[in-house]
Amino acid sequence: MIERYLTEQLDPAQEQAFEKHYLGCAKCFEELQLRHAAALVVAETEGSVQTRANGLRASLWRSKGVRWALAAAALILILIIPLSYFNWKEQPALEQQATTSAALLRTLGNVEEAPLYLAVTIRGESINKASLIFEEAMDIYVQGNYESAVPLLERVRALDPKKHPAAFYLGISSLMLDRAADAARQLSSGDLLGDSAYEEEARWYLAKAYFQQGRLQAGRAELRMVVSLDGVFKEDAERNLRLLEDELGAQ
Amino acid sequence: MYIDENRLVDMYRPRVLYFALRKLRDREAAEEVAQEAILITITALREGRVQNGQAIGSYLFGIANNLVNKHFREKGHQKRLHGFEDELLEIPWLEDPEAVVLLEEKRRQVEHAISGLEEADRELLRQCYDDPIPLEELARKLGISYAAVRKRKSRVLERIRSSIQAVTKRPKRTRIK
Repeated sequence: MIERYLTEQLDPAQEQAFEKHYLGCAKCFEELQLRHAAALVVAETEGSVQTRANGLRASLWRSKGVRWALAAAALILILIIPLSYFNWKEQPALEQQATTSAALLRTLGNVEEAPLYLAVTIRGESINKASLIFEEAMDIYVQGNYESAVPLLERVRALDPKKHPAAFYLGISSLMLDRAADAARQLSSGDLLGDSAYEEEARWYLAKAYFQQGRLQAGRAELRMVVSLDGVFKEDAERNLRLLEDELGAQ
Repeated sequence: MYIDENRLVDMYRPRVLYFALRKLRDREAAEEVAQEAILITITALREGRVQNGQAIGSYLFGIANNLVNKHFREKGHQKRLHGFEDELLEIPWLEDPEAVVLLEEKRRQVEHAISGLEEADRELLRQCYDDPIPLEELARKLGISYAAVRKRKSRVLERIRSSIQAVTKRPKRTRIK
């Protein structure tokens, strides 16, 4: 089990169970560290120092200071290029593609990747049939098999209508399957858009579902709600609203 | 129930840090998660929301997992804003340089222990960790039974453990002036 954890070969449920265990078990954590260290020593003695060097280079890249320094350098390079090449009113490349309303709707409705799901254990949460089916559905969801996840999530919703994560990920699964109408219906279910931890994200993706359906005003209303919630999607929503309002103003 | 908070931090922080680092692959973010998770747990203990000392691990897991999840949501947003590509950072956990740094002390201890092993035992470790394969397959490769491989591996790891314990328990020399 320990080696499989170290080499990332456990399935999500096994991984979670193992993590929960070693967080509470000093002996197992000690063993985990020992075996990890043994693997590192073996890798070094086998001449895998290059691996470490590559990793260090990646770590350097990952370092926030380097990322921001590179971003700043890129910005400076852009600024020193003669400004006559740029029209101040010119939209960035993303917006240049949206020369028509249809193109804009496609851009605004585009879902690049499904939101992540990480199993969360909430103390005191009861384990019931709905929870078990939900976990099964999410095991399938994380593999990208949205077609199979949908019926399971619908069962969860039927068993426990208040299970907000199920409503949310059901809507997402429908979006990923290009079933915008279903996604809009599922993401707009009343309690999900009430005082739930998923409200902001649900509205963000609901806006996308509306744009995919061509429902411009409904999508705009949801983006405005996302802005008002002042969360992690605020800046993205503001940017999309500007795109939309520029387009509508130009018509 | 009396809780020695300093001891609790010493006991659990390394575990949460390891857990968070494996998920996040970012030392700074993992340190933040570990600190916040320990703080929340201590607060819960003070307020009596965690009664059973043995439930601390489970409680801590739930908190740490939530914090990691929260970080991923925010990071997903940052990725969209700034367009940073993380694909090039998909380094296996065993080779992750942040893990190397985190385990430096343990690595030194194990390195010292492994240097005292016989070559055959060192070779077995290489087979187990350098390019991990199931023990059954390793047994076939070595031409011995699965039980024999398992026993040998267990013995090698026990020797490493004993060697490390012997070193850490050794009384330190003090200079008498």
